[in-house]
Amino acid sequence: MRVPLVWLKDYVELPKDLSLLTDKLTMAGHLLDKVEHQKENTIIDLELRGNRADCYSIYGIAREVSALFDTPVKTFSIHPPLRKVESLPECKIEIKTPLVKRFMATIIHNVKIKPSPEWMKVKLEQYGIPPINNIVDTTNFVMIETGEPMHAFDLDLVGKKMDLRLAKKGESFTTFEGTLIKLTEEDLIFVNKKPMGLTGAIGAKDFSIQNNTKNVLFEAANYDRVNIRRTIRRHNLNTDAGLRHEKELDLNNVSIAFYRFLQIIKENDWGEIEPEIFDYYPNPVKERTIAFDLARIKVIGGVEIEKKSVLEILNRLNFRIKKNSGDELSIICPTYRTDVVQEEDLVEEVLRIYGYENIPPKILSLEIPSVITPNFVNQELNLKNKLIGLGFDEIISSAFVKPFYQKWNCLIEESEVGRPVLITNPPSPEIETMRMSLYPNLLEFTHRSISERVEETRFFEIGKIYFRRAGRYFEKRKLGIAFWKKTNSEFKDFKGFLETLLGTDFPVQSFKLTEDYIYYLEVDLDKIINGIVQPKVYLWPKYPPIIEDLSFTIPQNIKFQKIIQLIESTNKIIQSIKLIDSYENSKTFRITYQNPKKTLTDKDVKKVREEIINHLKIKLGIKLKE
Amino acid sequence: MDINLIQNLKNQAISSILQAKSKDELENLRIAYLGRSGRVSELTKQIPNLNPEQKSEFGKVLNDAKKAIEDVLQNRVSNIQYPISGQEKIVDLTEPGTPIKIGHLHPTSIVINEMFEIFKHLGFSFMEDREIENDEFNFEKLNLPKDHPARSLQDALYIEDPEIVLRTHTSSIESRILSTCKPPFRIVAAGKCYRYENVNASNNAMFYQFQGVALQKGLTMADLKGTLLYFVKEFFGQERKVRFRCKYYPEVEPGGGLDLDCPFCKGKGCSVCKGRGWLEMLGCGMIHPNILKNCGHNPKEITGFAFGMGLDRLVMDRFEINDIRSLYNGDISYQII
Repeated sequence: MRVPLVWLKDYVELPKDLSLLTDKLTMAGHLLDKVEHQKENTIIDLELRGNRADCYSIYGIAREVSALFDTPVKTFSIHPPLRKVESLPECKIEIKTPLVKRFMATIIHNVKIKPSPEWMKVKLEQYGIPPINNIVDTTNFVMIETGEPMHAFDLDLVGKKMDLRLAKKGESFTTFEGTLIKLTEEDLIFVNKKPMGLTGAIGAKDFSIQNNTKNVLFEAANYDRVNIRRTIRRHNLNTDAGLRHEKELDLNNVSIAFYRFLQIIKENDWGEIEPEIFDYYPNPVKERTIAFDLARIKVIGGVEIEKKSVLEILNRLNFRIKKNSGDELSIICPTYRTDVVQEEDLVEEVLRIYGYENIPPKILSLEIPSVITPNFVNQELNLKNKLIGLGFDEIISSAFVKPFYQKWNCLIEESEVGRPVLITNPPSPEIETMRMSLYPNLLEFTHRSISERVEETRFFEIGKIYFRRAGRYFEKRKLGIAFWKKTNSEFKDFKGFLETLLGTDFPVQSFKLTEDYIYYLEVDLDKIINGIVQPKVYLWPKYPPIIEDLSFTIPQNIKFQKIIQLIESTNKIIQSIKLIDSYENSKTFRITYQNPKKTLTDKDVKKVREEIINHLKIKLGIKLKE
Repeated sequence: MDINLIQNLKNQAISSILQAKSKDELENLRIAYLGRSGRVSELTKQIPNLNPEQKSEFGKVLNDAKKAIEDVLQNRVSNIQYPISGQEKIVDLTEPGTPIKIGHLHPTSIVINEMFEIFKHLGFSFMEDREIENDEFNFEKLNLPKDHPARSLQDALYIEDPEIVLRTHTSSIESRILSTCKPPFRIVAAGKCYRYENVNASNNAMFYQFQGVALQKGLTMADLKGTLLYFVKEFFGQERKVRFRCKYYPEVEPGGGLDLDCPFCKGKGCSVCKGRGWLEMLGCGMIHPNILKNCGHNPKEITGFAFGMGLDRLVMDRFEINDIRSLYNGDISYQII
């Protein structure tokens, strides 16, 4: 909110140094957004706290300044109370909904519509509301001064009756700015024969103060703030009145503001105020009493503040002490502090005036709790490090799939069945369909790199996929790896990476081969991570190995994996089998024999070799080439 | 014949090779020891005169010695520094090497890892939780009942069921852990959050947040302040100025905010910090008593603190990226990280 200093200093003495003022306000919760200098005038723009409805007013800020600098606050003059009547004789007001919490109204006859005096114009202009005429300006002036929105109607246009009720379907009105508002059944309105405005937000043009207005119906009120907030959002009405009505305003402030308005009318002799007022106030708000155990300041704030200082701070904030025995206090809160409802709120009040800067920083001196990081976090990190070592770049992509790539958005694991999670209020088509696989986005990123003319891409993403099945939602952590090479691209290259990463025995859901030869693998992280074992350390064996090459003629349709498994299972002394040459149906294997406990002899190896040859011949029909 | 003779020969040869200063010198040594009429050959010629038992042992030892001398010589020849003679191959050491590809972590991962490392020192564990969240854990339990004004600042993305949202903040992890985990604990969490946003260079519908939660009897604002100052100084540098001020968040009471001096103007005020001299870094405070109650704790018996911050801005500043969309849309070229 813009706070013209020329206005603020009407109520409280300001420190000479501007930054002292703005720093203190900032530290106490009202962040200085910016300072604006207009000729000799200064306006400070404060980012106010959403729960401090009382601060959306110059007087409210003055109270804060008063508490922070321990200087008195000057009050403004208000009209003496007038007699309350059940109904105004000239205009019958009927409240037809419990959404109205308080409604005050009266009538002013023979008003003199004219430009506002200079002092009022200057303040409104500095705040940012253009002056119109004395009556409208005074409603605005008092709203900014006290925080309580109010409205003036042309009584002769309103007629003899005004209701407050929820709108009916099909009702509408035009604002004084000329916007047509189509009302819904949830909008709270002023109405006679036609809607006269949205209460708490904006009035209709047809009933507002005109240059020839003679008689005024004036009101100040408080409404259900949730209803107002919804209305404002529904109709996109960011008015000063709405901004305040959607917060928790003080119901007792309605009468203060009401009489303040009448006082200004009276002082300037702008009209004849009727001696009777209408004041609908079914549930008057009383001051709240809160038990306050001073020990809580230390327990929550971590700082010891003397009782004397605490009492002084509370006093500066207009909190009154009802009971005072030792550390046990009983505090009466002024009704404008709608935000203070429990002990912790009082702790914050004391601390923010005492100064957060005076809380001593302490680095967690308590006992260190046990580590509860789930295993997968570190395992995921290890996996990432391995992938980086293999030259793969990590991708973090959107959780959504763009329309063009949606044809690839399918669940990859066979056991998973479901459909994509769809956003019902998508801000754009690109943020509508959640990914069921990491593939579409990795594919998109790979395409992008290819178009940037790279020679090779190695990408991985570790992230979640999302799907819906039978009304339930699922999230699963996946690893997706994509590989593309411009020249000499071979599946073997990709598989080499995977074997280094995951071992030869990993659960592959699917290898995807696209027309661009982009190789892709996706695995369920929870599955492979449980299978990853602690790294092992091997020492060089003490006894030498015997290495020999054997060539075989292999019939068609025999999978390589099967041959390897068969050879491996022959004897424990077979350390490794490598394919070193392959030509048509002839393959040469290099077999390493080694016994960790002794030096192998030719005799030992001969026996095993014969077993291998025999096994392959009998079980797979593979013959040794002599 | 004496085996020691062979050992001596070996030792002598190796020490001469190690002391040699040039390739010529090494070549002379090679001829002297391993040449056709060198000293090793001379010993070999004696083998046929030995008895069978000695033959085998002597042969083996001599062979080993020969191998050892050859290895050392080979090693020296390939490593020796010497004045380049006309016949040697000239290597231009300024030529680029054979390219070897190494992968890179995503900038966001780098920052998360770094932050986690810092909090680890303070006894924090790392947590994760679901992104598809229900209204109860994303809002209700966090002191954000329906129609709370703060809800309108965090427009959720909804998915079919009105009670289910994509989490709008990592505070949902806070309500989860407070509801399920036995105190004392300290956790940090980082993850994707989602809001209904009109996407532009500074707002994205998907973004990352970083959250911290600690629950332990005896925790105070002083611990919160100390923790955050430690983090900020470690992460941003000891020289940075920090401002810890009162701020309102429905999830905390008392609430606070932490600002950092603007690095561009050193606190004087510029367009980046909108003339404030400070940049807002994070929100924090003591966990609101209503939240503690909602999650099954007695606010009179235990206290806790929480803090949260947007991560993308930190990542963008660190890597000098000025469009938030670039982080997650494939714009990052890993060639230059």
